[in-house]
Amino acid sequence: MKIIDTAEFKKLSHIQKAKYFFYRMLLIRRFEEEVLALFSKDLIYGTTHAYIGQEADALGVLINISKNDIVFSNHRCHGHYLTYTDDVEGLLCELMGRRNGVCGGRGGSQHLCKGNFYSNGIQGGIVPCATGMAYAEKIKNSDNIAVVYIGDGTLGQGVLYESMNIASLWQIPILFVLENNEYAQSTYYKDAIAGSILARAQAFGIEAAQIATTDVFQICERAGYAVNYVRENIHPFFLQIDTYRFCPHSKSDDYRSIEEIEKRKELDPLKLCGKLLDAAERTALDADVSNRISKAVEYAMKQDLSIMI
Amino acid sequence: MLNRIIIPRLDVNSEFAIFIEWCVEDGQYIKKGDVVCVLETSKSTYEIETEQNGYIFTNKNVKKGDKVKCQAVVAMVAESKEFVPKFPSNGKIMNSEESQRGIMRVTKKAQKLIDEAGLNIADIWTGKVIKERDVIRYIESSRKISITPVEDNNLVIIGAGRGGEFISQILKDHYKYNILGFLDSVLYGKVDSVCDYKVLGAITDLEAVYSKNPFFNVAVSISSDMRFRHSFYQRYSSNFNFINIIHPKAFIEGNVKMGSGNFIAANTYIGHFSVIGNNCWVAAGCIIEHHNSIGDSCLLGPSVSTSGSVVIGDRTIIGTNCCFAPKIKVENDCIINSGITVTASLEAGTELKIKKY
Amino acid sequence: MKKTVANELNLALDRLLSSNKYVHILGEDILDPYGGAFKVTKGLSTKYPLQVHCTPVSEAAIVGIASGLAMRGIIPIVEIMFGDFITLSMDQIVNHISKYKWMYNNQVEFSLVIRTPMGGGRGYGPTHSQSLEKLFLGVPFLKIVALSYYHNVGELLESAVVKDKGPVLFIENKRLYSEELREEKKGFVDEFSIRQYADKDLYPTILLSTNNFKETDVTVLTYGGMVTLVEQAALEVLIEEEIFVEMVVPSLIKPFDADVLEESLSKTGRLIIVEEGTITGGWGAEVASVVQEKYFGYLKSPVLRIASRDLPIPSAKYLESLVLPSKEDVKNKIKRIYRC
Repeated sequence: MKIIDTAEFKKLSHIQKAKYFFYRMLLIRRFEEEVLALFSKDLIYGTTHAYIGQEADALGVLINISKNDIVFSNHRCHGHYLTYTDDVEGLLCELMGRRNGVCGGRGGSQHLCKGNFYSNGIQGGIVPCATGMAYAEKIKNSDNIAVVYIGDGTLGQGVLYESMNIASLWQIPILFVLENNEYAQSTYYKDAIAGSILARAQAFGIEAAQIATTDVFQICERAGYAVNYVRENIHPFFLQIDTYRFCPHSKSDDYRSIEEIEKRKELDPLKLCGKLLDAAERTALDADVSNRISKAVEYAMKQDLSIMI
Repeated sequence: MLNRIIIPRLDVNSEFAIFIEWCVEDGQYIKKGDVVCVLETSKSTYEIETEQNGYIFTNKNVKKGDKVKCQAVVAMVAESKEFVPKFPSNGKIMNSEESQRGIMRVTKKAQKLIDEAGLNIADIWTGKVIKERDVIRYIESSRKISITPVEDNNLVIIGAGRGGEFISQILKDHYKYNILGFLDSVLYGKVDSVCDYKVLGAITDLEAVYSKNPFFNVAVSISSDMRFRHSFYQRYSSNFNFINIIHPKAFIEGNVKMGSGNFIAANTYIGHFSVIGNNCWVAAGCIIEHHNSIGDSCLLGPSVSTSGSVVIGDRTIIGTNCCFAPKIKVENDCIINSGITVTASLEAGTELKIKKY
Repeated sequence: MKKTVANELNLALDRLLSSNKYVHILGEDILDPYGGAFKVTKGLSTKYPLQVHCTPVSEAAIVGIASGLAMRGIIPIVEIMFGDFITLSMDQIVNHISKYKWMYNNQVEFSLVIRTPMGGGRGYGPTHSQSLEKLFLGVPFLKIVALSYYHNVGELLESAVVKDKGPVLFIENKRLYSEELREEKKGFVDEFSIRQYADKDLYPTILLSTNNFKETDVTVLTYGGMVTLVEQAALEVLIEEEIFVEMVVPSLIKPFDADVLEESLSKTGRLIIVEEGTITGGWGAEVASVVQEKYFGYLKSPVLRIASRDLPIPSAKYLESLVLPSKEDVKNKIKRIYRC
């Protein structure tokens, strides 16, 4: 199923939208599961930060932006990348150190760039960069905005606040999306964050909103408001999405209780979205996705390894 | 009560300020708040005021364009008109003439040699730092040679460049010398002849050339390197006849006295009772008025004009179209760039430069 | 207007802003009438209000924003008010600016200049006097350019901004701002013969000699603000002992091409490197390693270095003069290496 743009999406029926969302989120889910499996088989070198459980945050926000808008993501970027580019093959080749990977094998999991999509492994440091990119678009009068994804851990970085200050002062069209999955690596967010999260943005004169749901439709609607706000007012917006990851931070560094994780799985975004479809449809889409991914793995295994130019 | 006008620390980046002008007269009665003088640093201009009423006595050593350091005393304000000021000489004032003069820098080794040999720095002066080898070279090159040529009509032109080209034509057309050829260190070996006269050898080959083709007369066509021209004359003028080359269209009054080895170009006028020394190069269209005196080895560019009774020393270089007011005295070794009007006497070694466009 | 380093930089910035509306300047306190801590940006915010951005005190953010601008078609020139503050933007320089193009496999272009004044000798104390460019020597893909008054500083800046397609750290020694550019006349500047090394690229190397580039005794390599010290020392050793010095003054100090030293080294076999940063792990240490690897055969003595002592730079004048390199240090080393 190809990526469709916002205008086309709006014309779909509710069921068609559900199907679209389900497919795309499932694509991320199966991809990340496959990547973690490939690590165990020693076919991927390095590390990764899987996005399992947070798929709705990617879909819900990015369905509202255009191909010309900018997305800047962090170390946990596969979900955003696949949603924005649909480039399963390229990402897999990159993770497997192939010459035709997204960045020729140089960037790996955390450092991706394709078209208007960028990511880097320094979570605070990406924020001023994304802010600058949005500012460039404003200078060029292009009507494009930037979306930067940060996590609860990022709220500890000073440069985030420097950037919010300037974004508000200079009227920069940037959307800060905070995916609060409650754990910055192994640190529970309440042990690292004093005071109110939203008030941090509001202190800089930035309008802020919080969504505490894994329902992709609700996220889509609220994010749509935020995206339009940024584009129309040429002013930043801060969107906090309360979410949860079912996988470890990177690999085998998970000390959360199994009970807690199982409880949160009841609100699995795939589950919520899948309810709108019948079982047969879900199975068919799953088969579709799995097929696509295993083909991609086959393809990637055959590619030449990266070379140093 | 005595009040000294002292230059304050004006800004942290400037070691000194430039003294722009006095705003008061020496001996004038001034009141508190009056502006005494104006200074300039790279950042801004500053007006220095007096904090006291009284008679101001200005430091005569401070003139427009001088550099003054922090804590320099530029003036004193006293209650009494009879006050006799004494200004400290603490090196905090740098006169612009000092900084204008080309400082002759000499290495210690060279200075030792100069002192031992009792030489005059100005003769060795290369324009840059004088090194020991420069002194040695000078000593070597100023060794007089022991030739006594027989008086004849043969002539050698020193320098086959552009000067040599037109000198050879003037000589050919208006003089009756037998021109043997040129000596030129650069062109020898590269060209066979210039303007139909052979290049016989390098200038350093003079004695060798003489031994093959003896000559008595020498015409020096070099004017771009006046130091060389001067030292060449010093070395060989007691052996050879350095002729005066005077263009037939030059106008020289009959009572003008002239030494040897000079070149006077066309349309130049030299007025009554003027005296020209040796080895000068006077370009076209100059006006040297009456009762002037020009020393040795001077260079005057085209259209230089002097008024009456001007005295110019030795080895002075004057650019195109300079003008000299009457009765002034320009000492030795001055350099005056083109287009400058000189209205006051100049001390030896003065360099006058003006930005040109 | 005098041709001082600061004025020439100001004129170059003016030309850059007027020739391309996508050239933008970011910095703290650069708006008129103040016009920047060292006045290099004076008058520009009035003439080009849309292209000059005065920022809050946020070095990390402004350098980060500049990197975002650069990747999206704007050409930013960032002013860090004092070179000492560049440490606040270290992450942006090391983990972002110098890496994006390569780690993204050349999918982005990046023309960006960070200009900053370094250097002591004004009594400003430990955190306003340093020469920190040496900290960036190991950062791949970051160029470091340092001006001196022997270079055409306006052209140097313009090259860094529009001709160089990568990130450049542009070092201006603060003592040089009020110095006039040296004008060459017939191959001379005052007592020195001067010529330019036959550079094929944007950042020229200037060579100076106290003996007309003929036989020479010692090669001294230096850059930026240390030029004043070295030229004074070179003249004094000439006068005192007729030791002939050739100065090599590059403007591109990283990556540094040691080939510019070959001709001089082949004559002298003696090299002294003078820098204002601290001595341990400094630029001199790096160049000395390269020289002894490449030109060991020429060397008649070990390569010597002169640099600041490994201490914070004190504020009191006398103490400061003991930590920073001095003319006496340079003279003594020249005499010492000459006798080797």
